Amino acid sequence: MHLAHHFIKGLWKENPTFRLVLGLCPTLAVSTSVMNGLGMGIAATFVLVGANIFVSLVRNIVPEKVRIPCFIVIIATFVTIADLCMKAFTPALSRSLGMFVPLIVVNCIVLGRAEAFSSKEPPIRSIFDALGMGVGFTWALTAISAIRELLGNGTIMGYYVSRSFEPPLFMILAPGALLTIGVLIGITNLISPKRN
Amino acid sequence: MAERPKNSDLKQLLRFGMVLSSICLAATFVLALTYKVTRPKIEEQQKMAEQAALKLIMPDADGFKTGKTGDIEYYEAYKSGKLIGYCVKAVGTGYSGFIRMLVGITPDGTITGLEVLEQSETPGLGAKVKEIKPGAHEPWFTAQFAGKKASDLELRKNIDSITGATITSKAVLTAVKETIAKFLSGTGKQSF
Repeated sequence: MHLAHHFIKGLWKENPTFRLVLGLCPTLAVSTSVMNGLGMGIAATFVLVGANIFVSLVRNIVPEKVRIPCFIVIIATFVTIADLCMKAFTPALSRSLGMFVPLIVVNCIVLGRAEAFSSKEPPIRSIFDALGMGVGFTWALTAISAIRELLGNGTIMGYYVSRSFEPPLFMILAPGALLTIGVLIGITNLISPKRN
Repeated sequence: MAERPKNSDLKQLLRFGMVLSSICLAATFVLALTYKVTRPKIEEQQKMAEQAALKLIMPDADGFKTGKTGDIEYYEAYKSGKLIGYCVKAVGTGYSGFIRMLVGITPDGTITGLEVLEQSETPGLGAKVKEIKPGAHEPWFTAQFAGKKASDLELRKNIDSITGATITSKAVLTAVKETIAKFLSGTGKQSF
């Protein structure tokens, strides 16, 4: 019951992209195609889960004053593992994400969850929290990518959908990302119950 | 004058150091292990990508042999034991990073094919260097190079540039032209 709650909150109520508005830098940069968005989301989820487990395990050993460097080392380790594995097993995806896989280290969602959740909670709960956040980030990224790829390039997952219009290029460049994210955050705000 | 640190402060500092270094040590160990496991796989992937590119730009060849002249790496392409051309590695400086390519040429410098191995150009603009139009089988930009002499290449004359990506188009063209020129003069010297 409680575990499920930790998972579900990341999907909508505390969605990292649309509700917490964290990790926007990679979101802006890689959401140019669905493949990239999905790949980035999965890589970030792996890092989130791995880092959250270990941060939670060492939470009682690590002194408060050096907790940030400790967390960063743990996060960086998982990011490097993810990067090497992607290079080895999904080279095409690794090439198109490029620099943004190593940059997961400084993704504020990961450090944010370590700081706000797993440094205070036991491992099992941390896993569910990380999974929720990761899946939340992944679907948000995929949704943004799908809109941008469709409007900016006329394709979905690399397949041509329609040739009836010349895709507006700016959708695939940075302004299109800001526009898409803004509109989607607006829509989620509209649907979500008002806060007092 | 600085205050002498108290004994308990020192102990605390030591504890910080111990915790941090043991975490780093564990991380180093895990990473070393991952590196060792993935390295052969990564090298194999790179080789596979290169082999696939070789087949594309020199479809007639049935064997390749690596070589090096100056700082240019290349493959000699053979068909039933006869040398039919070279596949030369070229690197261009694009809009955002290096563009690594493989160029296939016949011994007299006619391009048989061009394949971009690695690029990090702007999606929607420079990245169109690898764009395959619907119904086509190969990227239209690099396909233009086939059948032309490397020394004759000229942007907007016999090669259409990519819209909005002049720097990328120029980088590819210049790299191909210069590398092939250097390569041909290099092998020329070697053969006597």
